[in-house]
Amino acid sequence: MPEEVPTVVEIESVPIKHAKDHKLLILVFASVVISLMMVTVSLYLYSSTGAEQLDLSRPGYVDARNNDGERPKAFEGFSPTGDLDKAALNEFSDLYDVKLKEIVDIDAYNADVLSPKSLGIE
Amino acid sequence: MPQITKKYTFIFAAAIAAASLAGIGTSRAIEESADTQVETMKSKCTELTSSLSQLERSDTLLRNNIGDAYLTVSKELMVPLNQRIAANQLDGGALVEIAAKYKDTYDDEFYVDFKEYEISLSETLKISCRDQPREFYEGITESRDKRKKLYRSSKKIISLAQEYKKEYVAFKKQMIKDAQ
Repeated sequence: MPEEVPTVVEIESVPIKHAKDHKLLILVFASVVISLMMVTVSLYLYSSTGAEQLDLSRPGYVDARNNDGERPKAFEGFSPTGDLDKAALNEFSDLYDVKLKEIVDIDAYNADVLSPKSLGIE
Repeated sequence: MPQITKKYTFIFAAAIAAASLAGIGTSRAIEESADTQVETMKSKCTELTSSLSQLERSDTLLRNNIGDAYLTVSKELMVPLNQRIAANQLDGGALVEIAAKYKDTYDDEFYVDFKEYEISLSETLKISCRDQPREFYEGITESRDKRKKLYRSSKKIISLAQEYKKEYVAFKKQMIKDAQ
């Protein structure tokens, strides 16, 4: 009776894929996650700080933005340095009077606009 | 004596009853008026929504312009003058105080009030005035109250700017007097 020779089975080693082999994929995924987090934070800040309410680039505000016309020339303002002599005091008075008139003349946010009479629902 | 007490008790009770009836009457009148307004609103829905949207846009534009003007008064005029007064070692305590109040009113009242008003108005505009006229009406009422608050803070800023001017005139007079 012939002796049975044990068969040697050669097992091929299967390469185990480690995280370091997927560097690119992980990088892409992490970048997407980080940018999503940053977008969420910035959107939260955008709406919570009141910036949203002032944003004229929102849809529907194009007309309002266009009607704004030309931007007024930049206001120079009063210099914080120098002597405070009569000429400087007069210069301040002139500058201040212009700006004060500007803000006093506009009757901003009068609540009558939303009264039943103004809305025609009286 | 007990009769007088009784008499007064009766008068007091009658007065309370009359006041309650008047109160009920007034609140009923307000309710009826609100109902009429809700019905009118329902019929003028499209017109109303359109004018409110327009108001929202013009308010935002106004907020940008008026906000700039308010800030300019503080940043370009009040603060530099106060710095110049301090640099020249002069007494401008009252001016500094008003300038600080002005800035606080802008940051803590005007800025916040506009934000709340704008949110209220835009939330109202999201309500369908045809399907939910009562909610739409309440939204308008709330926006009106918020606008009143905003108006008050805007007026407060203006009054502080005027107060600063008055104080400045007194300061200037004193300066010229001292120089002579």
